[in-house]
Amino acid sequence: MSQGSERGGDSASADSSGGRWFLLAFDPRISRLLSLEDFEQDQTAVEQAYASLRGEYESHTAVEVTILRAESIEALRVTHARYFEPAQRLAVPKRRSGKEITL
Amino acid sequence: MSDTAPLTNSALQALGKRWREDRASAEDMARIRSFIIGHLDPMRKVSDAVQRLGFAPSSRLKTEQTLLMKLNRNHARLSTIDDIAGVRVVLPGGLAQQDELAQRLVEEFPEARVVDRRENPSHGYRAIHIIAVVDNQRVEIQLRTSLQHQWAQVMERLADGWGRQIRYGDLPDSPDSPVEGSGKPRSEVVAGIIALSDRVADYENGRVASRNDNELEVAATTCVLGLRHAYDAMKDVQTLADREAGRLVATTGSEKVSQLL
Repeated sequence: MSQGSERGGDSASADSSGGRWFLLAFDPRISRLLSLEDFEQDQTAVEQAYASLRGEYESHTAVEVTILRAESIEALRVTHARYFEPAQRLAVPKRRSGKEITL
Repeated sequence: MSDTAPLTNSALQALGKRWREDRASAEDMARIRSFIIGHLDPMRKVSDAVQRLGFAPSSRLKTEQTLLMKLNRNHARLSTIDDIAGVRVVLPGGLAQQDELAQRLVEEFPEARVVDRRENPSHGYRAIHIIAVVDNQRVEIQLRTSLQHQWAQVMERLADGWGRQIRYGDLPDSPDSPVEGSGKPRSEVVAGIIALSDRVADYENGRVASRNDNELEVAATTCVLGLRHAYDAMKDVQTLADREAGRLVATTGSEKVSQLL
């Protein structure tokens, strides 16, 4: 991994940590994930793709385009479920063991 | 993009003001996007530091929409917004684990500012935020217990359907509109979900009387769904979204929503 510098650090083309870069587009009005792309460890590629995708949705101001990083998509489904899960799933109660309770 | 020379605070302030006043040029928007992207390196470094401590963080850049909302809401300045880069950790071990990780992160980032929203929640939102500074950029580390996180995700999705202003204590869109299932008006349901946050906190702080593990388990699950209305509210929000998606498809004749935009 690159060390920080005064200007803001070296942008690692491929970092060696466990994090994967993801680029997604999401429309909150319809709660739909429009696209999700996995860039593995390539930070440079996800930065370039972000600019391109943001430009594609330039006239669709409600569409959210963002970069995320996590160990896996499964990890993102837990920490950022808004992008992935139907709304009702977010309110399903769970036992302390993690098992869901059927309403 | 991240190679652009950093803007001065006054230039950032002026840029944010033009954006807020809908006067941003194409060149301004390119600078704003470069400014956002410039947080990726610090975000990665903070995330890696959290991972080295043995935890599994997820991180994200703030979207342009929510950043603009923040500028509009608080007349905030681009240079002072803490959460353009956010690192989130969900902790199944409850408050004790939350305290432990917060302490370790303060040791890792001695210049960090700690915002503990657990005893003074922000309209029901509870978490510990640690604002680290890396390479002159702020990165917000959000530490949430599992229950705090579940509450926050319910509220966030509710805000998508009923208006993001509910996260700041304002009424939902169409506040008197009844929620299918409970029949209660949206405004009452939102107030109930915010109050639910206090019940979650009571449970997590051991203020819920119980005689055995089974009651604790019931209390825990009841906390997250103490009101049936929370689930009905989620169904309402999803129905709104599905209807809008169906309308888009019907209007354009396209089979795939992603092709409509």
